[in-house]
Amino acid sequence: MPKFLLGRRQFTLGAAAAATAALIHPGETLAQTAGTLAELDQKTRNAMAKLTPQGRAEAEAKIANIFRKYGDRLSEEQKADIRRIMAETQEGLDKMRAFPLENSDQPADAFRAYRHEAAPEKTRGGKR
Amino acid sequence: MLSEEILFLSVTELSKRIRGKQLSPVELTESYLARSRDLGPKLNAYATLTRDLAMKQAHAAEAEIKAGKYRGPLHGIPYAAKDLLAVKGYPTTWGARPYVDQHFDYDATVIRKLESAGAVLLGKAAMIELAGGMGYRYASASATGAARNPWNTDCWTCGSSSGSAAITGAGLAAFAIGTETWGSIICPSGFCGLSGLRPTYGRVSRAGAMALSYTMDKIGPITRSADDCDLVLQAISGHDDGDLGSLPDASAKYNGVGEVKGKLRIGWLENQWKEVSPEVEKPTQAARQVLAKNSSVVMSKVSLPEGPWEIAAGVIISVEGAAAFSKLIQSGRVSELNDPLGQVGGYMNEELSASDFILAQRIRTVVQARMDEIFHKVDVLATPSLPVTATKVDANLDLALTFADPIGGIGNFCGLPAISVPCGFGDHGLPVSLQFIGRALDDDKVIQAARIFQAQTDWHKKRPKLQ
Repeated sequence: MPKFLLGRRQFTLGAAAAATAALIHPGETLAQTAGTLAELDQKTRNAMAKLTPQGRAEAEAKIANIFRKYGDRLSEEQKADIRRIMAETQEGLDKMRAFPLENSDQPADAFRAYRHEAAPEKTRGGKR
Repeated sequence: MLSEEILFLSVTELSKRIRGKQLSPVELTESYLARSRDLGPKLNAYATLTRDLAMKQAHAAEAEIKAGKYRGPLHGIPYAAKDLLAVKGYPTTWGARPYVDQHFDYDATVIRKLESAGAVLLGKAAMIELAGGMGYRYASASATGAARNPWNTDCWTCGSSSGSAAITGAGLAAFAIGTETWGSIICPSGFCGLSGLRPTYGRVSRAGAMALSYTMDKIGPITRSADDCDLVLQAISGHDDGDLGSLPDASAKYNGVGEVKGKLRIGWLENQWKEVSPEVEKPTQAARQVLAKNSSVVMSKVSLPEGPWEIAAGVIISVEGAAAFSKLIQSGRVSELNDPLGQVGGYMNEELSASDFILAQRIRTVVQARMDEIFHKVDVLATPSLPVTATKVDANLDLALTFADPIGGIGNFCGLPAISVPCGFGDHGLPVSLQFIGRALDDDKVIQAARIFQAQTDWHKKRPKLQ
């Protein structure tokens, strides 16, 4: 089970979020969540407090952008979940950016010029 | 109906009997289908049974073998494939409700290769929705419900190849195909006491497979022995123009574990898990002693390099996943996913910047080189597959699996091969496993290490008691 969403501390892939109150189905609320709105807001504040002013501003800008684009689809619980996760993941991004790299350190997926001698083959959907 | 004794045999054993005409592929297929029909729903193991296709392939295999045309060790062997591999004529749901009616008019390359090898497709294995690509917090993050562990149905199989592990672990097929982006073969194999192989990135074509992370997705077998992993990888490896990540054929094609030259150098990882539960520590230390006493092994201690590898790997998957599922995210249909995190994860992943993505790719180059240096000193690394046994099926995974996994992050980030093999049981009869990780393209060495261990132990021959 991979570990996505910004590679947080959890082993669970995608469980980058340390919990929250998001809706699954009507009637399944607290049993599926890790905290009330107030608790989630407190976790968000705690995470934000650990960030530099620049990091905090970046996290807040990203949260605002998510809500600008998708806010009308989100419940208050989901918004609280997003605020907390974005605040908690910003610290990891700051750590990654602090890793010492030289200008000459190239990315792993280097571009290669392409040339195919044979006639192009018709590809089907889904094939690359 | 064949006995459990037969249905739990390894591919290696089944193929000997099929080749010797002591076992009928048709009877074997019918027995696995009947068992899958009876037990599959209790475990939420399958997305779809492909009964008609299976019987057609089984009859064809039987006729060919009778006529003296034996294709090899997978001929007439029934298997299941994770439901993110396209199979013509059947739904390919990616484990997710928005895709329950999705069909493709072609077969994935892996499916075609296994058909060419004469294997029999029993069905599409259940999986975590989108292989966990939008994130998930509960085992129920699947269109088919939480997969249940054959060793204890109150527990989870792990994911995202959840059905593939349930099927192989419960003796519903001889083996299954899974995929891993980060942990999705190693963890289910570990929780279910199976032998699961994550091949080197680029060795197995992903053409016709759902893409989650273009530079981290791998396809591999979940089986009942290291020997079986060796056989299946030989069949499914090789270059494919349909996958831009596919290695050239000289590298991609796996020809099996060759003759052992000299001693195998195994480095025990000293800084993988911050904490290992006592019920895992005891059997894995016993396994370490088994390896240390083997005359063909030299053991040493190794530490992983420090760095933001897991964070960088997470950035890669998040960004590539956001691109792969951009239509789903922007349409709002992520709300149809089962998991509360999956419903919002894509929105957050979209916010990662291009410069952070490239930065992560540059860090990737650095850690690739550092890991390769380690593999000049040892052939493979070893560590417990997981620091805990299987979690409860209704657990909040944010709380139940909150530990760092540096070798999982690094291994997948660098595209390194790994295998998980069972090495004992915890306090409640749940499997405990050991993993071996190798240098890129040293799939043979990780399999060799597992074979050495399995030649001295019989944990891989244990099977759960299922009603």
